[in-house]
Formats: sequence, C-alpha cells, structure tokens
Amino acid sequence: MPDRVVELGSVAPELAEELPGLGLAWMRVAARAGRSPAPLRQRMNELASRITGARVVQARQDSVPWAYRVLWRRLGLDPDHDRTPVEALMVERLRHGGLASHGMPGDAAVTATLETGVPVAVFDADRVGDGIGLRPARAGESLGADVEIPLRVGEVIYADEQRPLARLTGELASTCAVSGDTTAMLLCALSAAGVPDMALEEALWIAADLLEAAAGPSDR
Amino acid sequence: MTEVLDRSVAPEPFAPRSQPLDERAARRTLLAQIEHLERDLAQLFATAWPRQGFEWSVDAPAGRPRLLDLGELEQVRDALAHRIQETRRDLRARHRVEDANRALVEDMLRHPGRHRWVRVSHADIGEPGCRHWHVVPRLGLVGILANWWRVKISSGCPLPRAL
Repeated sequence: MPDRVVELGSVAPELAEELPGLGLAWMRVAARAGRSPAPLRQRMNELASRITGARVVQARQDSVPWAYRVLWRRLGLDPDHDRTPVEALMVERLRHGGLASHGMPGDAAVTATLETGVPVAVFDADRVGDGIGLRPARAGESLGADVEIPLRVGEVIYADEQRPLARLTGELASTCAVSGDTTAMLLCALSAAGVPDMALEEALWIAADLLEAAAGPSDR
Repeated sequence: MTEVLDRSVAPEPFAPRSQPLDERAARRTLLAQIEHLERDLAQLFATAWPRQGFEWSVDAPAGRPRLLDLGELEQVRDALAHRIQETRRDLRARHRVEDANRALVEDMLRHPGRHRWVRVSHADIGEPGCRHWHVVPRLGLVGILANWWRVKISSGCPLPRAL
C-alpha cells in the first residue's frame, strides 16, 4: 500500500465565511506524464458506455454533482452555460460518443471526476509552492508566465502563497502545469457544501492509483 | 501622562466585522434560497426529460466565479425563481397537450376511420423513443375506397451515433 497523505488546502476567510464547505483536499504522488496504459483506456471506454443521456439528466439530481451546481450558482455562474467539471465531461462524452484519451495525468483526472463527481486538478508538485488553497484573485494578477491570462479581481482561484495556479473552472497556469520533466504531481480535489469527505478522498485515491499504476513500480 | 489619558479615553476599537450582522443574515438566507431553487430546477429538468424546447439557462451576474454582493445574490435568486415558474407553466401546458394526444391515440385505436391519416408520435405524448401511431388504409387504395382503416404502430429508432 503506497504511503499517501490527504492534506487540506487553505481557504480565504471571506470565502470560508460565505461558503461553508468550500475547500480543497490535495495529495502528492510520484508520477510522470505519458501515454495512458491500455487498462485505463479500457476503463474509460466502459465508463463512457455507462454515461447515457438519461444518466446525464439524472446526474444533476445526484447529491455530489448537484452540490457543485449550487456552488457555481452561488459564485455567480450559470452551470448550464459554464458547466461544472463533471457535467462538462458528461456532455463531452455525449457529443463525441466516447471519452477520448489525452494521456496522463488528464485521463486519471477525468476518470476520478466521472467516477466520483468531484473535480480533480493536477499540478506539477515541484512547481507549486507552499500554502495551496482557494482565494479571490488580487488586482494585477494573471495566470501563467509565457502567455498571461489576466484574472478578474475577486475571481476565486487555486493559488499558492506566491501566485495563482488555476481557475476554478479548470484552466491551469503554464508555470505549474505537468510537463515531460514532471516527476511528482499534486492532485487537488475541490470541495463544496454537501460533498462528503469520503468522495474527495476517493477521487484523490482513484487518480493516484491510476497515475502510480501508469508510472510503474520503479517510479514509486 | 497625556498619552496615557488619551489612550484610556479612546480605547482600541473592536475587530471590524467583514459585513454588518443583518447583511450576513440576509446573505445566508439568499444562499439557502438559491440552494433550494437549484434543487427544484434540477427536479424540473428531470421531470421534463425527454421533452425538448425548454429554456434552462438562468441569467448569471458574473462571468467568472466570485463572491456576489447582496443585490447580485437577489438577482440570481429572482432569475432562478422566474425560470422555475416559467418552466412549470410551460410544462403544465405541454402536459395538457400530451393528455389530449393520449386520448387521441386511444380514440384512433378504437375508431381509426374517424382519424384518417392522423399520426401521433411518442414525442407528442412526452415519451422517449421513436414510436408513432399512424392511421392508414388497409390494402392501400382499396381501403380508401372501402373505408377500411387501421392504426399502424411503427417503431425502430435510428442506430445510436455521436451527436
């Protein structure tokens, strides 16, 4: 059994006061980017065959996907326009008739998100500083270094103590994204009111299992 | 001495609250209302399926996720309530039409001659699938001349494919 620890990220006080239950759980995993192994692609195919139109309709009544819809509403988004991560993946599966493999770590995050309903973001662990958490963006902040994506003041983002890391809707800064040089990854599960801790841990463990299985025993 | 007196006269203020007390209560109420309305909307969405043509989007004040001010929270709550009210009204109207279509199908089956060439599909009665009931003459032209009519029940959806 690999030695894994689930840690909790920080949440800015104004967010915690307004949105109890909003949070971040994260886990560090030794893994590399690369092609997804055949068993994972097979698992994604099986997962895709379970996602029918009726399942997608039902999903928004299920407690976990519904909790993220409520969070999106409370943050001023329309989840039928800016879809929650799990619903975006489900709709993509309906549109394309399946789940296309984009390699690791993307496939691990997609599988974990669809299995549990919890959004999972993956960062390069060595390019993320201490104090990862959720906070509103400050004036003048942007995502990335090469191609800067400006952030609106007050936008809720993933950030470490130094800089913004990603948007809540999933867009990552290039400065902390997984690359070919990555040797360890930081898996982050977003929490909302009504989402049980078990679902967060399950999402992280599914993604970690898949990443470690793909990396092979020598990288653990 | 003067400094000490000044300090005793003007004590340090309490830690400032981020929001006034009643505004926080109002915000909590609005957030709870949004939660309940979102549940109602999700139930309505599932009830309406597989019917097409409903509008589900709700005006959202923020292009990016952020904390909303009190007015914006009210705006979200009102927009949700409006969408639910509108959709319920449309769904009721659709149910009335579907009930009439179901009655029509029953009558078509009993008296096909009264409903020549009428065609009712599953969509017309709010059901999933591609079946339809079609009143057609028996034996083609002979049936038209002899007034022999029957209901042909057709089925068979196209093979599944990507949207």
